[in-house]
Amino acid sequence: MVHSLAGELMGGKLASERPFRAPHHSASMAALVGGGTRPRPGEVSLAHLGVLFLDELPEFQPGVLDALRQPLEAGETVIARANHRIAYTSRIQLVGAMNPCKCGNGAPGTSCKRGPRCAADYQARISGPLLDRIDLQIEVPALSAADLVLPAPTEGSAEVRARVTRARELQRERFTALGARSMRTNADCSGRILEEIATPDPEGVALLRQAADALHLSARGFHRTLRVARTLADLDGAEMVARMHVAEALSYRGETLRQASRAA
Amino acid sequence: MRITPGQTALAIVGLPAKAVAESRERVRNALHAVGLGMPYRHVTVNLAAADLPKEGSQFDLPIVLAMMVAMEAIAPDAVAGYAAIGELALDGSIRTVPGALPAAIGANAMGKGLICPAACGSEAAWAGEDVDILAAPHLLSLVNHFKGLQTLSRPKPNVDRDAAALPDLGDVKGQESAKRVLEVAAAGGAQSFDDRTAGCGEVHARGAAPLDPPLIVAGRNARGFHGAQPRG
Repeated sequence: MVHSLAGELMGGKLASERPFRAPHHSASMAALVGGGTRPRPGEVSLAHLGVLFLDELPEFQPGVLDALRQPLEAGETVIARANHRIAYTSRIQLVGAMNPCKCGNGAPGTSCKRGPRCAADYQARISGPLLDRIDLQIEVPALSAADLVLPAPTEGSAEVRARVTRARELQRERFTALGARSMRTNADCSGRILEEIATPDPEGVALLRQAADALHLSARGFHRTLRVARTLADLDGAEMVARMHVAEALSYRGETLRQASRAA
Repeated sequence: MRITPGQTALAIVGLPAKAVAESRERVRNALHAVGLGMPYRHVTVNLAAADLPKEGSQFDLPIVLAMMVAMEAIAPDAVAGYAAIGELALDGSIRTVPGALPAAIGANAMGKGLICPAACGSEAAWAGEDVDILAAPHLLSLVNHFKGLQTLSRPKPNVDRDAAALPDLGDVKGQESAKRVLEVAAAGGAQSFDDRTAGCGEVHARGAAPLDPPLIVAGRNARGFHGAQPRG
């Protein structure tokens, strides 16, 4: 529907693949979230139900990035202008990639001339509230020569897709059983139902409480950790969220990452 | 639309933007292409509501149809049950416009069918089995359809199956933690992730798209039918 409005459907055919949008980092506010004097959906709406990939995340204008907060939280972008008020659906999966530091040398094992300040300044270009909305944050080490000479992995996308589909089936069945038909994935799940389905076993609860204090998790961060833990349990086919799942979910929180880098 | 005595002219009112105002020339030429001349009288086209700005070229087709009704070239009851969108070429062929699918849904909600360009037909057909859709390549074929000389068959909903080849996770060596995170992100839905990396971002991210289940399984599970219908 969004693509129909933007005139992007070729030959009147609907797409069967999910959209993948990767705008360049010079993207303006109107290009990313939509708008303009003649309002048009932006990248975030064109990526509806698909992936919005922002490469070199800190190179985007900070204001533009923060404009993604509403779509990420609400699943729609409300564009209000003096003459128009339009809501475009934009339930997206945001994927970002960045270098740890502007000079590109911040990977473990290499050093930057400007020292830790370089990395800290660069990473600070992404606002805290936006980072708080990013569930899974990891550091990917540079490939070593040892990795490159390895034989190609046996597992391809098809196998992973099968696991993903199974996990999604589990989620859908669970939401149907709870009578929440509007929800499809753990990401759509409301806070109340989340507490019902994702409360970990006692050991997991203890770990979560301890981590929430130590990492100063926000309320949103707390719920998002639960959500990820629920997904991890779904991938394992587990009925109950265990301590292991909570621990892995916590390891993807940015707070953990930043504390580790501060300690280093 | 009224044709009144007075100076020979075609006036479009109702806050038309540039593309709408220029439709005057396209309408005149398209009429000429199907063998009709502009009447030597004053023609006023009123785009209601008068205080709402109109944009885009999709008003060409409704204007020309209204004109042909006023000139008694087609019967009023032939087009009464339809809404229309489409841009006219100077030779009378009907060019594609954006937004055919929402237009078809909107027309159906008003209890009407939709007349749209042939190229948009299969898109508009997704609005539902029971929506009456006329997808015409040329003004002449539309006129012939109304006169019963030629029948425009209903367009079929169409899906773009030949998607470009996507990269495969099997091509990524090492990077197990990144692959794991991709899998979790895909399994949990719209969770976002940030891949802090030196020179290996893009491949991973592109790998994420094929992990999600395919959009269209059957029938109405298409993009555009998920979630709320965009307003506007």
